[in-house]
Amino acid sequence: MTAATDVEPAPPARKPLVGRLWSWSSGNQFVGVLALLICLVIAFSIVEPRFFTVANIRVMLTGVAILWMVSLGLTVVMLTGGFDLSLGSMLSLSGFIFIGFYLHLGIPALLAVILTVVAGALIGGLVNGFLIGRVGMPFLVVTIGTLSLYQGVTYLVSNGQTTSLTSSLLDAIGFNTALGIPITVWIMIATFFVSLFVLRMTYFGRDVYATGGNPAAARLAGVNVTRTLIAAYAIAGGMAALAGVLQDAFISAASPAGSGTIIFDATAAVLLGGTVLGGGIGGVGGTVVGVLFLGVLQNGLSLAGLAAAWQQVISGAIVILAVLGQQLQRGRRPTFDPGALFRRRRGRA
Amino acid sequence: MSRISPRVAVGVPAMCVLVAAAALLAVSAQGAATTAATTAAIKPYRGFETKYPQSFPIPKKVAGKKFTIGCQNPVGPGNETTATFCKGVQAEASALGMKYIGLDDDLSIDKQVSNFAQLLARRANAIALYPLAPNALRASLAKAKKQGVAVIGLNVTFTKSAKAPGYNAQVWEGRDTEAYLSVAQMAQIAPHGKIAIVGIGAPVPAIKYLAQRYRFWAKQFGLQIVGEQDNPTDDITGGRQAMSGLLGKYSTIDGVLAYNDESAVGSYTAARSAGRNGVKIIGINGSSLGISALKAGHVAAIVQVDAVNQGAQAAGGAYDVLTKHGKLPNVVVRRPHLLTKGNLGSVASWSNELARIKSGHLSH
Repeated sequence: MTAATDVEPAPPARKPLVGRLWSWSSGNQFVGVLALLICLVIAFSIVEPRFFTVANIRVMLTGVAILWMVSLGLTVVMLTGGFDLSLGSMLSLSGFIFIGFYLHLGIPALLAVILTVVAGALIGGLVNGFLIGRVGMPFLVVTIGTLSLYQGVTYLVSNGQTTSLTSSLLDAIGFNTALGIPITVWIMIATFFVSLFVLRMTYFGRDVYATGGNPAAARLAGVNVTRTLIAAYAIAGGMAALAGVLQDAFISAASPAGSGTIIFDATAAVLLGGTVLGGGIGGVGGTVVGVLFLGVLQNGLSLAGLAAAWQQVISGAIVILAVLGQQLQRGRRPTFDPGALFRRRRGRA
Repeated sequence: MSRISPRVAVGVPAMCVLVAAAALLAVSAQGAATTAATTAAIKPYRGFETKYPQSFPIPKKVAGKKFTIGCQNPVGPGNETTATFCKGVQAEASALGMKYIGLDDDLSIDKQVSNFAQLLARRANAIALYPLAPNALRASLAKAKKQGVAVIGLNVTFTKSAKAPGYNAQVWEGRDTEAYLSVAQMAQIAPHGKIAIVGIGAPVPAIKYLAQRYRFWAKQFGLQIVGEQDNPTDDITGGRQAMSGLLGKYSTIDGVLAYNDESAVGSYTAARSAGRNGVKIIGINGSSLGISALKAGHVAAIVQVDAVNQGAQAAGGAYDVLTKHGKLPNVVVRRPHLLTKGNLGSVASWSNELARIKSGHLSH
């Protein structure tokens, strides 16, 4: 006879470091791009000694500041399964919204910056967000419309002309440093951590992922999908407005010559970062890796003195390969369903 | 994952914003140190573009004749310089009693061809345009000739060949003069300096030619061209990217010659971000972006093109053709001028020029 003994279940065997790294990398789609980014930095540092210098890193980081803001906003929208083509136009328009607050209404610069961001969020939420989230229009149709609408309004309010401005605050934002680091970079860091916090630590962030994963299921689970979509487009609008203020800071003026192509770079950065077009998967951590990847690539190729056409060829090819690599990492065959871009979202509120 | 209450979710980001705002206020602003150097006047351009006239014969208004002129903006409303060219066409046309139709080609060769066809269909008597790809318009030009439509081109050719087949005449903005003025001014503010060129990434022959002329004149003025980098996107961001490459590659750059205002402003932002405030930058076009940068001391000079009179000359030349008032020269050159902080107030702005023509003073 044997006495029955209570045997505690053995704790799961601790995986070796390599195994743990592999598990972590399987859950973080941007790890491949991060590895590629590190390889790029090492390669450019060897090939071009001036690459890894404080001055060049500073130029490179501040050079991607606008892309950083737009990409963070786009990430939130893409996580809901949507897309916003109008962010470049919103960026240009916001430059003039700031001018309106600061020059025409005489509002102090700091308050004007905050009001511009709020205005961008309101426009993004009440136009794109409302039409997509509440009315249920396809996001591509709505944002193609607002892309043209915002750009047209920018030309009308600016009369096609650049408006110069003088503001010590904006000059500081654009070019001063704090603790040896450009203030622009501090703002980039702050926006990243706030975005990360909102997406990972709040109910709203959970709702964003749920909406992107399956809006019908999210609704059944009690998620207010309409409100989540409106808020996501509002965040994207606000981030684009902040990017517009940064643009004003860099050139001490608001220019209607828009950033129409920035949305393509932002899309590349977000996809590189592992956020998928269908929504529900990804995050801002990957996006900043994607932005840095593009920044390092463009800066390194420029330093190498490559002709612009070759830079475009190489950048395009690397972006495709990197995203393809992520899809293979997920064990999926690359697919594309153009019809999905025009279909109404399932289970509209 | 534990969830945080909505109050905290709102409160923490709000705190972050407030802290960031406080940090910004605490940082003292460092004023831009760039100031325009006081320089002696540069010698006038004596190159091959001086042998061409600056104006077509001043049109004589013929009573009872009603003409329509179309202007095709090669880019669109976002490009102030090309938009001003069409405004010049419109102002002169209005002063001559012509009807005006404006169309945007949006940098699309297809659209330029279809807009041209649209103007012919709308029975325009004259067309002014900046051809994006001259060969693409061959059939359209032949059709226009058959219909008796006057066509005046802007910068159809830009080198020593002034003939533009299919066009009644053309207007040049003076690429060689632009290069000369930029380099001559640079030689004054950065004598014997090490100079970089920011060119265009897209295959635009006129801008590639400009870069060649920069190099030619730099040699004459004893400047050393250390390198050239292309602006891949033809905007401020691309200019910044090009300049970042140049700053990384060359430890000493005294000056930058940029092919447009956007590249000049982008170069400035890159140079300042890298702490290289002493780099002298000269751009081309003289749009409100360039003027704004000049006023702020971000660029040392701007070569301003005579966009209003380029357009006005195109309209006037077309009117001459339609009223059979004398034979037009193959080309007129509306020579650009140099803008510095010193002469900014004394040179007629584009808006003043437009107002002058609208008030009935025809371009000459």
